[in-house]
Amino acid sequence: MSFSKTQNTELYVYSGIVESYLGKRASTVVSCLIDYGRLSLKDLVKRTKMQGVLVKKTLVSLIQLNCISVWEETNFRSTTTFYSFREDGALLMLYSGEIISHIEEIYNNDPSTTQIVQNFLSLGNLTISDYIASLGALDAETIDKLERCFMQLVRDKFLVPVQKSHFYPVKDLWMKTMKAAYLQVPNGAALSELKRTAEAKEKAKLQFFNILNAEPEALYLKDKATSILKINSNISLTFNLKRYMKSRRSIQLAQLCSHRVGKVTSKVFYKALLHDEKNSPDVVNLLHQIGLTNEEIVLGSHYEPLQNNLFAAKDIVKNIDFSLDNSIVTGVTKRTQPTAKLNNTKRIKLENGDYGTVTGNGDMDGDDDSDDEDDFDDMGEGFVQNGAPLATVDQHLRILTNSSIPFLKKENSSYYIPYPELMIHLKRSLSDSIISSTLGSPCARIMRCVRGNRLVSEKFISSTALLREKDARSLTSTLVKYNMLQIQEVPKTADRAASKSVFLFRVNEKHGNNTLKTNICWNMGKILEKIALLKAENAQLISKINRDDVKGKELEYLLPSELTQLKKMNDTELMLTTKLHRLISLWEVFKFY
Amino acid sequence: MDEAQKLHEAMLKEPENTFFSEPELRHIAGVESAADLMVIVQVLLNKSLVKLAKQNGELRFQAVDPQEAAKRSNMSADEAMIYSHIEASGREGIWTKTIKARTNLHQHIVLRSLKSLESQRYIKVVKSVKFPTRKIYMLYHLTPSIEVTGGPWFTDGELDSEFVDSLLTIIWRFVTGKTFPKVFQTEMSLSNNPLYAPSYKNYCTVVEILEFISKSQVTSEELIENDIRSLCEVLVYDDKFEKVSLDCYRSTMQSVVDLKEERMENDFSIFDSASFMASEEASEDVVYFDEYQL
Repeated sequence: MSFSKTQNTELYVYSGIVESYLGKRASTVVSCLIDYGRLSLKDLVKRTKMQGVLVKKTLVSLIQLNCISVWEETNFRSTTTFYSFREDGALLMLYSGEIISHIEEIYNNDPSTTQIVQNFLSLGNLTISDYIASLGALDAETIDKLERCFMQLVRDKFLVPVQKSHFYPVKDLWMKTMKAAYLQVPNGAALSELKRTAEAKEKAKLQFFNILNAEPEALYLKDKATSILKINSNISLTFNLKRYMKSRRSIQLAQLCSHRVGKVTSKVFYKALLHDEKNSPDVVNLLHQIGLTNEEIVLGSHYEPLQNNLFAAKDIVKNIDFSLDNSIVTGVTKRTQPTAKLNNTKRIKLENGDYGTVTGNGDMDGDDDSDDEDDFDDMGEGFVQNGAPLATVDQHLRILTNSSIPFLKKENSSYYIPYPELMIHLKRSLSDSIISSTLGSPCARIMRCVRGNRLVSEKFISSTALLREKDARSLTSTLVKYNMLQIQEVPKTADRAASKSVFLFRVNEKHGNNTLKTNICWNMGKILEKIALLKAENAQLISKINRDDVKGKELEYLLPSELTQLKKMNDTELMLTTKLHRLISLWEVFKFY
Repeated sequence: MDEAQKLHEAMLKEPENTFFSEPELRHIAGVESAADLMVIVQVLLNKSLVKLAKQNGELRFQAVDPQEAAKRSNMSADEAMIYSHIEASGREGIWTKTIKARTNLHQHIVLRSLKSLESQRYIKVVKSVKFPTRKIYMLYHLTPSIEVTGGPWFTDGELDSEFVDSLLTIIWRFVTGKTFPKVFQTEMSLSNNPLYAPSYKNYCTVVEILEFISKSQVTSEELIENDIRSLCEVLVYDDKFEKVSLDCYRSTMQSVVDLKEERMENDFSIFDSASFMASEEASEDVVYFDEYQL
C-alpha cells in the first residue's frame, strides 16, 4: 500500500525517517497508523495487506523504539488492543545525531555517557543490568563508572524510568482519567452539568499529571557499603525526548537573544537558561495535546514560575566561565533637560507610606526598587566594574529585563524566564526573519505594519510604510499567497456587492506559522527521500564497502571510479543531512513551541 | 465715479480678504441710505472690483485687486465662472469633472475654457497623490496642499523612495550611535561589543532627530516632527528601531547585525541569515520554501 505524500506532510517525514532506520515494513505500519489513526491488529493487517506475523514482529520493535503506543479497551464482550502512532520515537530518530553531539558537549566528551545515550537511542528501553551484561565481563571500576554515568543522566533527566503510562496514547489516558473523575463527582440536583464537568476536569488534570509524572518506587538505591546513591539496575530506563527539547529551546532562545540584545548578554542568558533547565516547564504543554481549550490552560501572560525556576545573579555568576570585563559601558544615565531646574523636586507619598522625591525628569528617588543604586550620573563614558562579576552579571540580567522582548522578568529580587511569552516572540521573530530573507525586507515591513495596526487598508499600508502603491499591492498579494496576511472584506453597500466592498488586511499568526510548518515539513520529507534515492542509486557500492573484507581497506579494494563515486555520494549525503538538520531547527519552532 | 474709486481704495486698505457688511460700507463711503450705496457698489461690480458673498445669511462685500479684476474682465463669462470655481477650491484644487458638474457647462466649453485659462497662466494642472489619474486644477500662483502633494516624501506625485531610504539610513546611523557604544568602530566585533548599562537613558527623541537632520542640512525640504515620527515608525516596521517610550527610540541589535553581516554563532543559528547556505542555482538539491504550496 502507498500513501500520497502530499496529503499529510508529517506522514511524509515520519514514514521516510522510519523507513531509513527500520525498513519498508515498519514504514508501512507507521504510515498506516498515521493515516487511519488508532487501529486494532486485525484492521492493521487488513489495511497494510501484510501477513499478521510480520505485522506483529514489526509492532514489537516499533513499540520498543517508542514509535507506537498501545491501548486496551474492554467492552462487555472482549478486550481489544489498539495501536496508534507515537511521535516520540520518530522524533528521536530525527534528532539522534544532534542528541549525541549535544550530550558529548555537555558531558565534556565523556565516551561512556555518549555510548549509553547512543545505545538507548538505538535500542529504546533498557535496564542498567541488561546494558552492563551486554558489554561482557567488566571490572568493578568500569561498572562503577558506568553506574555513575547513569546516575548523572537520570539526575539530569536525560534518562527517565519507563512507566506503564509511557506506552499509552495521551488522549486515551486523558479520556479514561476524565471518565473516572466524572463518575466520582456526585450527581445531585444542586450541581449543574456544566459545574460537574468543570469539577471533574480539575480533578482529572491533577490525576493525569500524577499518572504521567509518577516515579517508580526504589528508583534510587543506597549502596550499603559506601552509602552512595545509585540507580536501581532492574528498572527500565528510556531517553527523555522532552528533556532534550528543553535543551533545544535554550539554544534557540540564546541565539535569539544574541540577535536582539548582544552576544555577551546572550552568553549570560544561556547560563540563566541552563540554570535548573531540567525543571523548567515542558516545551510542549500536555494540556494542549489532549485538546483542552485555551481557558483551561494558563495563558502566557499569567505564567507563574515555580519556586525553583527563580534565580538571582549570584546563582548565575558561579557558572560564568568567560570574561565579562569591558562588557558594560556607562553612558549618560539621566536625560538632561535644559528647561528643568536642578532643584525642581517635590515630595510625593509612595505606596508603602514613605516619601520620595520626583525630579524634573520624572525619575523617582527613594523608591524601594534598587534600579537607582547603580545610576552613574557622570556624563562621560567608561567601562565599569571590571573584576566585579556579580555586579556585571546583574547589569546583564537587568538589560535582559529591560529588553523589548521579555527575556527575563523580575519578581521581588529574583529573576525568572517567562517561557510561554518568550515562545510567542521566538516564533514571531523567526517567521519575520524567514520572510525578510526569502521574500525581502519590504515584505517584512508590511507584515510588521499590519501586525502593529491590526486591520488596515492597502492605502494605509502604502502611506505608513512609505512604499509605492504598486509595490505595496504586489507585496501584499505575495504575503496573502503565503497565508501571512488575511483579507477581510468589508461591505459598503446594503446588497454587499463585491465591487463596492473594501478589502482590509490583517495578520493571523496561527495560519502563517502553519503554512511555514507544512512547507518546511514537506522539504524535510523531500530531503529524506533524496537521501533514500541516493542510497538506492549507489546500492551496489554501499554493499561492497560494507563487506567485511573491504571495510577499512577501501583504498585497496575499490576502483578509482568507485572511490570518486563514494566521495561524491558522501559529499551529497553530508550536504543533504546538513540541510535536513537546518530545516528541523526551523520546523521545531513552529511545531512544538 | 470718484466715490466708487475711493470706496474701493478704502476697502483695499483693510487686510486682504476682509468681508464688509453693508453698514460698514455705508460708513466708509459716507452715505446714509442703502440705495445710494448700491449705486456705488454697482459701478464696482460692473468692473469686477467687488465680489459678493453670503455670510450667516447676510450679504457681504469683498474688494478685488485691480489686477485681478483686469484679469477677469478679459475673460469670457464661461471662463470667469470656471475661474471662480477654481479660485474657490483654494490649495486643494478641483477636478475637471467637478467643474463640469458645478457649472453645468458642456464638456467642450469647459475644456476650451480651461485650455485658454491655462495658456494665460491663470491656472495650472497639479498631480494629486490620492487620485493620480485625475486632472486637478488650481490657481497658478498657489502651492498645492500636503494632501495633494503627499507631503515631503513625494516628488511630482510619486513617492521618492530614494530620498526616504537615504533619510532612513541617516536617522538609523544617528540613533544607533547613541544606542550602542563604539558600534561603528571598525575594529569592534559584534561578539564582544559592549552594551550600555541598563540605567542608560540617553536614547533619541524625535525632537533630537529633527534637530540633527536640520543641522546636517541633508535636505532642503522643510521637515516637521510628524515627518520624523513617521520615518521612525517605518524604521520600527523594518525592525531597525524599537520604541522606548513615547517619541523615544533606540536601534535594535538585529539592525547592527544586518549591517555588519557578521555571524553571531559558530554553529548554525536560525536567526543568522549570514550563516545560511548559499544556494547554487544549478544544483538539483536546492530547497525551495514554497515547494509544497506550488
